[in-house]
Amino acid sequence: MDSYLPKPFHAGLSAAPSRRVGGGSAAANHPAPAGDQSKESPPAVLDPRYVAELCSLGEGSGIDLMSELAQVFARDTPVRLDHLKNALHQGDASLLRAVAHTLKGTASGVGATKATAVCARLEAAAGDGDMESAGVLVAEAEDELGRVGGALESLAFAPRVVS
Amino acid sequence: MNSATPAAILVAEDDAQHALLIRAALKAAGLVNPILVFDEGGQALAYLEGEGIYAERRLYPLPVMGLFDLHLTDMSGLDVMRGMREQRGLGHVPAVVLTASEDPVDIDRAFTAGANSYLIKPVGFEALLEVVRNLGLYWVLTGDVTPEQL
Repeated sequence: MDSYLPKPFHAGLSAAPSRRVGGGSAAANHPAPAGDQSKESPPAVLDPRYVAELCSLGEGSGIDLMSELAQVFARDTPVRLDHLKNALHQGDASLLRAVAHTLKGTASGVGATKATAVCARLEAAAGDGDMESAGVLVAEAEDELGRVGGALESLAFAPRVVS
Repeated sequence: MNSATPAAILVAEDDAQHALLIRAALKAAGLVNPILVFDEGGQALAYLEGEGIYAERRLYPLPVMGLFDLHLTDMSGLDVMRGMREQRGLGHVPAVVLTASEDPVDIDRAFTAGANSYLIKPVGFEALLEVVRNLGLYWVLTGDVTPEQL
């Protein structure tokens, strides 16, 4: 039977009952280390519902998914950002669009909502040949993806509490 | 589940993050088969064709399902899928195309090339499980659920 599933599946990742991460269900919303709960929460870098689903998926699969995702992100994203900046400096809108598209997928895969949106805007700007806007968005993407890396690292090394 | 080496699931995916999510989703679905991830289409084709070390099928079993990223670094995932289909005994192995594109042209190309299913990345557990069910593979892959239970 042929099938076509027409949109990203950010919901419905769950394979097992959810578990709390970082000492509470809201901790997935905190890019700061788990122990730093006295300060006001910064805006969510990662979608907490999506992160909870990733944690559940990791639990259901027996894979330390958050740690592995953090490692892959830390390894691959700086390289892609370099490609992004090189494409910008070379004025290569086509390459810029392609790398932005890849980074959009990377951000989406970890539930980084804002980074996904920034990369989507960058992809669109590059597609339109608007290199001036693209320059601004490359810097924005680099900043936001840096925050995503920090948030993933915090989650990867946060203490985990089974509900 | 018998004691023989279970058939493999071949994944041709050059994005490590997506490959990781696919592997997790397959494992979480209860699939016990070896999951072989190739980040280059050429490697995947060498495996499918039994080249070199891959000739030893006891160690490198043929796939019972293939998942193919549409845009691999070295070639199109559709070419790898076609390569699988051309192998003796693999002509009817279910093939799922993975892509971040929702472009109807890409979707049409995938089905025209013989894909059984098409998944938008990042691939979630429920979506992947639905595909496995739709392809009638769940009981084959897990070995503990009959088709009637689906």
